[in-house]
Amino acid sequence: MTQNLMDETATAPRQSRGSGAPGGGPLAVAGSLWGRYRNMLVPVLALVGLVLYFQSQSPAFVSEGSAQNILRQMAFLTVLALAGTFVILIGGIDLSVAANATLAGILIATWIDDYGGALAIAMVIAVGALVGLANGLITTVLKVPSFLVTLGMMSILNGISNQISDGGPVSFASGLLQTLVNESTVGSIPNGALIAIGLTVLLTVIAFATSYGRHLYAVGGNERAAALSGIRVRAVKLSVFALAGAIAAIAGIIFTGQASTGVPMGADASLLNSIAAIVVGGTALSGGIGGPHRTLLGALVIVILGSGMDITAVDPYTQLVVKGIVVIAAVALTIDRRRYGVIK
Amino acid sequence: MTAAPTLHLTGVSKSYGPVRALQDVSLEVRPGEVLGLIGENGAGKSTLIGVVAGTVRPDAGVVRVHGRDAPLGDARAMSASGVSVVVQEQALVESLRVYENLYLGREVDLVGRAPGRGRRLRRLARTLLAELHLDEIDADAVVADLTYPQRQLVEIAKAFAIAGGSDAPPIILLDEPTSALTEHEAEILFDLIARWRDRVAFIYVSHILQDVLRLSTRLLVLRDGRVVDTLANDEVTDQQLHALMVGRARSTDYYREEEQSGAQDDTPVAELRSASSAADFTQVDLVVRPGEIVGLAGVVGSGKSSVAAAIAGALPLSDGEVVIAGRTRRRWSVSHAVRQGVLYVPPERARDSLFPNASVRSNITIGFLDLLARRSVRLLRIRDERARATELSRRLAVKASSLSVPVRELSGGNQQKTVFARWIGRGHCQVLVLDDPTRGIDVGTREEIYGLIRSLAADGIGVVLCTESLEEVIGLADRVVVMRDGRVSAEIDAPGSTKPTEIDIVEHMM
Repeated sequence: MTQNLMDETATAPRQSRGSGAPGGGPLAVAGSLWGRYRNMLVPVLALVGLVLYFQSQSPAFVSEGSAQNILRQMAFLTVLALAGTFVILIGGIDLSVAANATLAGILIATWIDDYGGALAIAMVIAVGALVGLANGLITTVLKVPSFLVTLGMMSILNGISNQISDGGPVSFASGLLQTLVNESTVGSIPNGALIAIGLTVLLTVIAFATSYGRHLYAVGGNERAAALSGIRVRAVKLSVFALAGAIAAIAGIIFTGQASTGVPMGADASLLNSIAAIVVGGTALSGGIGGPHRTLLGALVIVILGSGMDITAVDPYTQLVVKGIVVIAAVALTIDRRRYGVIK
Repeated sequence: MTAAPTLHLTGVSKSYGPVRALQDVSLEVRPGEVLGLIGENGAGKSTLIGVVAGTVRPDAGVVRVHGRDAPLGDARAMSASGVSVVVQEQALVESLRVYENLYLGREVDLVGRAPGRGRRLRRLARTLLAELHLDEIDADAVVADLTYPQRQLVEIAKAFAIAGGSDAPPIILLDEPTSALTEHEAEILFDLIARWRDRVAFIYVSHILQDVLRLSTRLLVLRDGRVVDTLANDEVTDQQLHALMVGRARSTDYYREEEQSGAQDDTPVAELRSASSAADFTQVDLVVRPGEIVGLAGVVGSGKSSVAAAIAGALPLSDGEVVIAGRTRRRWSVSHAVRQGVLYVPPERARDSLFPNASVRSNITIGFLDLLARRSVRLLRIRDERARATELSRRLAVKASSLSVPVRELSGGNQQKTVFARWIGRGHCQVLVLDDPTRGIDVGTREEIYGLIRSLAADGIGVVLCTESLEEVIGLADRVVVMRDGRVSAEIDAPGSTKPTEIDIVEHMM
């Protein structure tokens, strides 16, 4: 078509965003790059900064033992945070992932000796997916905001977990989980961490290289426009909640494998950490921005922050304060303020 | 009473980006007058009302109320100086009772702070409602429990409540006040206006010309953001007004009428058969043939936009059927429609089409991702995706520094081109449904879009074109379907050689 127009396009200078005047020198360029890549740079800089800081405080921080510890914690937290990532990506939130993981942890401990490893694991993941599907159905059919549905679901699941376990730990004899989660096949990396990394890669490929993944971004970016461009929004939402439940169940299995016993309320305390990991990684609570790869990065930041504070002997109550501040700061940095009204 | 006009606007102008909504508009109203404001869609009525209400801040001009300069774009100041506005979107607090709404924010001035305020306000409200002959409205009723027309009457009563309370002659602006009223309720309103006319300056805006002619003492005609004429309302006819509202020369080049080819085949690609949709339209029959551009004309709220949405699957039918390529479609949604090659460009880009934070590329390829997936593993062919997006943006001359920038950084015209690219990229398109595709777009890009529509029609695609601009509909369409109050009121052929005039169409719209 019009050749002139195209030439203009090709030679048009990259527009700088923000307040920088056109051709406003290196500062404006830096500002523009910062604006575009902010969500990616924040967690990377935080990670590097944290490692350098804790290393300067305590030479024991970068060591074989501490790395093992970090990888173990990272395995569970990453998988739990991956469960919530797609839900946040489509503009919702799932507060029941941790309680769902706890239930899965109890169920695997209860079932693994009776049904055998493979079947028990499959059943547990199916239960997790069903719980997620229930979240999705209530959200889409009854049109109840997801944060409220999943808050209620969290309480329901807590109750069920305690009923099944009678409020006490559930022990089991099978050594399968020990092999699957704690032993190492590659170098000295625990298998749990490999599962977390593998799952991150799988979900990242789904997010970026399948129609389904692109539809998640579309629904999170503008639900109405997604529906009007032919995306079956309800089906997408249902599947995302179900997937979240299934992944939360995997997180629960990892948790029980690491604890080598089923613990009621076991994973519950990790809810805030998992949301922190997602948001610190740069997936915006307003939806449509981010992805599973970011969650892995965010989980590393949160775990290193926690274990660094342990090593430098920050008391646990102060740690809670610090983590709360980190979550709020991360949300403040990543949220899309144009769409602030969307978040209830 | 002062000699100065109660409300006086001089040289008011307002632009929205490239669109000049108002240009050098002046008007005055005095007590005892009802000024009727008329003009077709997009003539600038809404903007002018906004300026009077203080919700739109004009770029230039002076607004005087009771001889004093009023601050521009300050709704509170306008309201305080005695300007009341009754608009289509209601401004009542639904959870409060009628009497509370009538005197909202002025309670203390009216009945003081002493106990028993509620009782005194209620009595005041009952007196007012009785005086206004609004017997069916209970002062104690909660607004949320009232029907829409009842609320409209409460809103009007509120304007009167404010008007009755101040010393200077108040100004009441009524914007399409009868759109939701029954005939009986409308009569009550007209009576009110007639009785209060001496004490109030009215501005009456409506597309129902008979009402405007019946009520107004003077008429002001707007066209393309300018005042075409102000005339006393004696022996003015509908026809004269129609001519004033639309009269302008049409450029045949602009719409490429020489390229107009018309239907290439008599077998329709899309049909509506006695289709109805709950509140929006009734018993509509519509036929779209390959290569034909069918224009939908009508005022806002005539149902034209809903008919377009129904063909595209975005609005379910309550009755009747959608027939695509000869087959009745029982389950018809946008996702079904897209797979059948019935593609929709909805009216409000920002709300309906764009993913603002996603890249231009993603905004284009979202329309045809299913065609980019590998057959075996369902993974997208990313390289093909990039190539397709680049090719399409080049073909449509989308101006962007890179296809990776978020689409929100583009101009309105370029954003709309990405929406077109999204559908053109599917390759297989039978019907293209366009609702106001050139809204808020500069002239140059408009021309490109017209060219695009023509070339798509020439490829044998059936086009449904629904726009606010009559000129555009006439210029582009092979056939114009005119709608009024949810029904088809006329079908007018518009071949390239003998285009109908805007008057031919407007007389079926109103």
